[in-house]
Amino acid sequence: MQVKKYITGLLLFLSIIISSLFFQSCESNDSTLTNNTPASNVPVLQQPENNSTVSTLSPSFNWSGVNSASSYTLQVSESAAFSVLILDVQGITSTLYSPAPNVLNDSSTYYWRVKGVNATDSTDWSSVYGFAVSLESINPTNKVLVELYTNTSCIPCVEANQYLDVINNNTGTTINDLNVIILRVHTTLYAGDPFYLYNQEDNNARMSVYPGTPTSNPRGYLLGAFMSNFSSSAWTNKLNEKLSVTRSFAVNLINTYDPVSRSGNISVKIKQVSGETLSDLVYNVALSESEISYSAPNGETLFENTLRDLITPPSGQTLNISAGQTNSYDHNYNIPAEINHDHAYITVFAQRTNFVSGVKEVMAVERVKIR
Amino acid sequence: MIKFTFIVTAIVLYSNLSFGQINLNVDASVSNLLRYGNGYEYSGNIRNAKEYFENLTDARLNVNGVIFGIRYEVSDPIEYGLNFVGIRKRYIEYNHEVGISLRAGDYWETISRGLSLNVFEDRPLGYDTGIDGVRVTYNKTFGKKNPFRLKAQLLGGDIEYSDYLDPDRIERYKVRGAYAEISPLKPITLGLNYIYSTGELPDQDVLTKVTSDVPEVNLSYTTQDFEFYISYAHKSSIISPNSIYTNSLTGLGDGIYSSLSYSFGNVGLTLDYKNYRFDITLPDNRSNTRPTRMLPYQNPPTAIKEHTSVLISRNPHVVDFNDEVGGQIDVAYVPSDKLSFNFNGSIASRHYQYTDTDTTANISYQRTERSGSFLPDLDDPFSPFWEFYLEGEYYASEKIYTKLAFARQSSTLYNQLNPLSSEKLFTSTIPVEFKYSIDEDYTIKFTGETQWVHNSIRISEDKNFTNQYLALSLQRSPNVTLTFSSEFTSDDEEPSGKNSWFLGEATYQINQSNTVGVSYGTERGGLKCTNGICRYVNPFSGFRLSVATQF
Repeated sequence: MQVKKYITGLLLFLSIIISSLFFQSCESNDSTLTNNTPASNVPVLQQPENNSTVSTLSPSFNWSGVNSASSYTLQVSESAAFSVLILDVQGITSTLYSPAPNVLNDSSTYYWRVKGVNATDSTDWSSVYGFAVSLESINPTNKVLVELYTNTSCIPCVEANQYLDVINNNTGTTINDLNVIILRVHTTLYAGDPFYLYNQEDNNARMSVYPGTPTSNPRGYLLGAFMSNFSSSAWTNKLNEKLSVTRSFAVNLINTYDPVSRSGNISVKIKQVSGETLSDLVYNVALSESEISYSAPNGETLFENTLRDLITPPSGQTLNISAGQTNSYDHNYNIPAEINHDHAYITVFAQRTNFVSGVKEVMAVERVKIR
Repeated sequence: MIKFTFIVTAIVLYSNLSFGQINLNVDASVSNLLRYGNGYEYSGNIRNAKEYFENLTDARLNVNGVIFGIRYEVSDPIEYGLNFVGIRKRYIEYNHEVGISLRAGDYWETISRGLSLNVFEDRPLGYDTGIDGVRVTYNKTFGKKNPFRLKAQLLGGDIEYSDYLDPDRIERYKVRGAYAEISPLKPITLGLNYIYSTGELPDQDVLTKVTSDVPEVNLSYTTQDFEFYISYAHKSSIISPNSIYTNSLTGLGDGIYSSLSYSFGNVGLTLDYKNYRFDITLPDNRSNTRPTRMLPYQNPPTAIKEHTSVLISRNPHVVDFNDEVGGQIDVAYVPSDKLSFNFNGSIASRHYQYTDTDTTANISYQRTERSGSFLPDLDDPFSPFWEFYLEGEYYASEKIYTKLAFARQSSTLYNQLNPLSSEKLFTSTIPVEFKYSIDEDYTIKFTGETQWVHNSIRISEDKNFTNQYLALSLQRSPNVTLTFSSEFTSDDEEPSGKNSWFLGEATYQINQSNTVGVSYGTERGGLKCTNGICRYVNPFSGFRLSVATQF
């Protein structure tokens, strides 16, 4: 009798589990991170924006791609009619081009346009954008800094790294991928990360800025604010929110670099456009490297925006500034032989050192390619 | 809420004291816990000075059945979380013999097995989801020959939940609940619960507002040697649009937990089944701060074994209540008074695997449906976990006690983008315990544990390493315990860079009311879990003191 009772109970239990087979659960599911740029039959110009002022002799020209195009032709002229061409570059296979620093002149106005080309045909010219070059101009931008704390043995970091790689490739994930400046700090979460070991002092310094970064990865910080745990849809919305706001500080960079001696000078101008005077500001000049090949334990093979060195002291350089004031600084630097200077960048950002409402706010950020 | 609490307090006091002759019957108790630590904490290989001082005084006063409780806390600096000085908890409770219980102020509560509501405090983890509000309970059994039992409960209040990874980030919930439990026949109990909450989840200067409903139904059938239990809870969370979640979002999810246990002769058997789908989402959207995730006041059973072994619990399985299916079997066999065996096997995995359907650099995940999603899958894309544990205890004589166990654990953390680089962790652990009573006063205990580990994402070619834990303890009955423990590893990639840890501990029970504990040395730290709540505890070296007092 007892055995019969037990068997009955067991059958009841199993029947409940099996009934789950027919149980239709209702659950949530989110949209993916895909955000494709709409197809167009002519390129759409992005940067330099129309009627904008750039403070570099080597601005990045960027436009949206055309599906049918295998390459692009870029023209830059001092006249809107393109009667005299300053630049006429054909066969550009990406949607990004930066001219050499000796092509454009300071205090000048230029116009630019792009068309797509394939083996048999070409598109119409895009609309024409005008821009001015003024090295003295220091204008606040909507650029944002994303610091990602990661580790080469960290499996959950792979998704976050891939997400930022997609933005880095300017695929239109956010409302303006080009204004997202990424810096990846490698941590002590797992031992043996070669990018951490390359410069322990500076990686430690950045880890000490945000508690929890040595033991919890990935952790993303947007303009000094923790982005919450990685979620592509939430991160995209957070980036878009900050990308739609102009910073209250501006950073202007002029870089000179001698590839033979592998040394250079970065001239930094920081302007506080508005806001109260802050007593806890520093600025950091960071050297990063992209396109590093390494077979990491977590399966990643290409590393972008990897922090290599802080040219300023590890804890930053004190910045005393108030609204309307512009400060100028010069920093000499050398690029070690093991760093590929063709894929090296200098990123400068001004940041508060104290937490205010849980944020060490980054006031402004700018980045320049070494060469 | 504080104002409301005082009003309730006044009503209760008045109703209790104003009728009949006042005859005060007072009973008071006070407990105090002082914790102090001074040393260094290791975050990776970064060493930071660490000092904490915490003093928790819990006072309880019973006046004619009305209980007043208060906790005064000085946590400055606190070990985990935010510093606090002041009254942390206070409550007033009244229990009437007719079966009514009223509590106003701070309280913790578990409804049935916790699928819809299980709020608790775990001080070592710095975790507290206690409610500040009101709870009214009616619990009565009618009849004796064929008893009919009824329990009804109404509760409401506020929860402030501090995210342990980011203590400044505090989620605030207003919770309302109603629970009814009836037992029309002695072995059968049917429970119905409904929880409604509104929450505010901060993200810097943005608040995400969440409105949630969590109904639950549970049923149990219990006899002297047989128990069956099943519970189902459904969660619906509606997210109001803001700058982070630009469209209104509704997160639906649910969970089933079932348990069967019975004993026959000298064998006890327990089967647990869990199917938690409170927030199944795509791999790149999983986050433990998602507003549609399982709510902090829910905490279902983990359905895995919680170990006392130091090394086995070093690699705990972190239950993902948002997306996990599995179960466990536990068998206890007691062939004699001196000998007992315990076997436990558990298994768990995610419900689905995902594929990237976008051929460009972008990612677009698509779920692969399967009809067997009510069962765990051991394929790597499901990030499976399984464990096998066997333990034997033997009392060789009145003086000698021995325990021998073996555990084998396997866990996979699937790497969605680079599957061949998924993290696979295999451990085999043998814990041994030997206790010898020298005489009536002195007992010596030895604990030895050896663990073999294979970790697939180790950088070096040798992905295998071992851990050892040794502890020797001398107890002088009834008030002194001295323990020296040590731990060793051959892991070249131990994050702290160390390969040995040594700790001395002493506990002295001064009298029935006062116990002092001190320790000095190095602690390895690691992931620590209680009831499925996990936090990473940093390695520590230094001095700790605790003084527990009870009056």
